[in-house]
Amino acid sequence: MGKDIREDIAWAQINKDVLKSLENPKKLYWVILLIAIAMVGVAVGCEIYQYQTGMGVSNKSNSHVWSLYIATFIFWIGMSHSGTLLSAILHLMHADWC
Amino acid sequence: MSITNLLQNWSDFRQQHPSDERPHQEYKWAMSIDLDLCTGCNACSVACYAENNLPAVGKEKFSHGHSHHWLRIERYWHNEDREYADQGAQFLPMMCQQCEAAPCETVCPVGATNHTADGLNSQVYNRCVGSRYCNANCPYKARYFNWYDYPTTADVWPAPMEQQLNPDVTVRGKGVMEKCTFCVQRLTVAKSNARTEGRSVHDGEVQTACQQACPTGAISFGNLIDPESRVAKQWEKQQVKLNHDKQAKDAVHDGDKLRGYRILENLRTYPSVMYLEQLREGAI
Repeated sequence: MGKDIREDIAWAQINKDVLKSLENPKKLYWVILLIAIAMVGVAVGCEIYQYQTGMGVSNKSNSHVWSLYIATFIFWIGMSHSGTLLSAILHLMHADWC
Repeated sequence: MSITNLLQNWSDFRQQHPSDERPHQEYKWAMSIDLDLCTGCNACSVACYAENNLPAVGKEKFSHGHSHHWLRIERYWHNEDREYADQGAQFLPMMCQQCEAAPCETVCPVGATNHTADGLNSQVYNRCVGSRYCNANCPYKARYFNWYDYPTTADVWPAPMEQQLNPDVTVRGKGVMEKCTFCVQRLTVAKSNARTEGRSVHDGEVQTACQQACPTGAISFGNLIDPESRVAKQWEKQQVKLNHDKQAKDAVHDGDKLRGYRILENLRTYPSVMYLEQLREGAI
């Protein structure tokens, strides 16, 4: 509580962190990217399998007509809407970083 | 736009009936089911399977909720104090109620389910994209989705069952919604015959498969417009009106208690199936 925030943050460090994304990525980045691409591949495979076999493989039934699909749809819609709302408010209020 | 105006519009809307604008001309197919006669034998369900080429999905898929019976027998118990819990079940055959104001029709994004001039709720298979909105919106849960490509991949008609498939009915592929049609293929044939002979369809000329199979004759089917038809007489006797959302059930008329009702009428779906309340004690 004692010190002012401007004395706490090393401005050079912030600069460095922000500019890091412009440099060549580390090895860990490629590993994570590969895993992500593999997951997308599995998802695409599952989708194709589902279209070929029928919607029944997603374990939906006559009483659960949309189940996880509608839940994830609402989740991502909610995420994007809340993101839009937050940044819109910050923009309208002319909020600064410090 | 005043508040009285608003209320007036709302009250007009509440008074409105779907057949006000386009009344049924010659036919209004309707059904009545006497629950006093129903023994829950499932013969109607089996007949429906045979008539409409329904896939027998098997035990495993059935337990996953992929059931495919257009007509199911629902069981209800009222007496918990019985010695055996399963005793005294009351049965109710439940199929598509062919609502006049069908909730499924309004939500279909591609107009695959429509109302016909005969008062049927039709389902156009080759227009259906499988969004399942109609199933989600159906208060009777009488719609069944093709979760798999049953005719080609699953062994739903093991030999020699494929030889009894009905050539008048299409075999549905995956991703299509379907439901009870009131045996529309029979209605079409009967109407076409009648038109050729320059008359209208007689009462009893066309039977649905479930009605034909019922051993106790609990199901009657016919044209509600024709006042001499069996169904129209039954509806008349029970004072059940097609465009009312509440019937005179339990009122005493001519010494008899009226027992005709339609299921979930308060949702204002105006179903075409009238049920007659069970009065006798449940079997066994």
